[in-house]
Amino acid sequence: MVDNYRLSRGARGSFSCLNNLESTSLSSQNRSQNGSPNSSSKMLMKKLRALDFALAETVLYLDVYPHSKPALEYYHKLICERESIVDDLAQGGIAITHRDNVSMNDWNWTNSPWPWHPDAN
Amino acid sequence: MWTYEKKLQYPVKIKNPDPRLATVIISQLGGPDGELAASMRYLHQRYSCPYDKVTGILTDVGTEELAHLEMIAAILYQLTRNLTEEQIACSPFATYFVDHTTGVYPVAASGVPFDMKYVGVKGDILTDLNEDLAAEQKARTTYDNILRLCDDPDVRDPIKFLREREIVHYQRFGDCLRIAQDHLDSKNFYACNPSFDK
Repeated sequence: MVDNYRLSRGARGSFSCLNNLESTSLSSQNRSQNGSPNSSSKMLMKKLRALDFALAETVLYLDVYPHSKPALEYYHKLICERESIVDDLAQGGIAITHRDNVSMNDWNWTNSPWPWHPDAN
Repeated sequence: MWTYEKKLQYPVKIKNPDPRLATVIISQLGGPDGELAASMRYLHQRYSCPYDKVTGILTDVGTEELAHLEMIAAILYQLTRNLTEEQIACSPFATYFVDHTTGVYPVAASGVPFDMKYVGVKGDILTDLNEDLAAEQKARTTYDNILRLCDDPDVRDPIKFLREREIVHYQRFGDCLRIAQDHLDSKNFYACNPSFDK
């Protein structure tokens, strides 16, 4: 019996995800025993913060210069890279938005640490 | 509408609590030129904005200011953790503590709570953009003042980031003013309100 399985974020829409069953332990890969993020998830968060900053800057630029081809290409490159980082975090039990809770058994959105706590940074 | 992302835009990791520093930094939370004032200003000005590009900037910068508000709150939360009663009693933080304990409440360093009077929404995009340019400069000066009063590198780091963002926002609002002015011609430059007159 499988008591815990993870859906990829893309597969959630259709329930073909039922073919993707993997039993994983209840404590997710991105958290250590006491629930705080481990070093690999801290690395992912750092990458995501840097990427999202570049994205925010690009968005402001495109708001004013919407026809800039280089900016649009850079925007799409960042969006693509972002997908895999957010997915890795989600698979490891860290949801960046409340749409990223991939577990069918756990709701991790409200887990500590919250962003204003030093352990989250 | 807004989606919340569970991360700070820039990390805040402060080792040493400092209630005295919290008492001045709190102006960027609830003061006249702080992040709450900035976000309310831009997010409310966008409704009467007649130009899409400018509405885009007001929306995106206004949203970013909410993220900055959260960063300031994180700084304040971390500066006021694990304090002894002695540390609180001996600092200017005592007058805030008596009403709010170590809760995070938008006031200015003077103790005046946040007031929407700090925010201008004139319903004339040229006027509103000029207010925005001034607002970004006032925020930048406030950050300069905070840096003059702060030695701790853990605090200086996110503050310097926030200060640089104000400068970038100033550039973008400059672009917006140019865009808005390009829609006017030499005859009607100040004779109309492009947000109201047709």
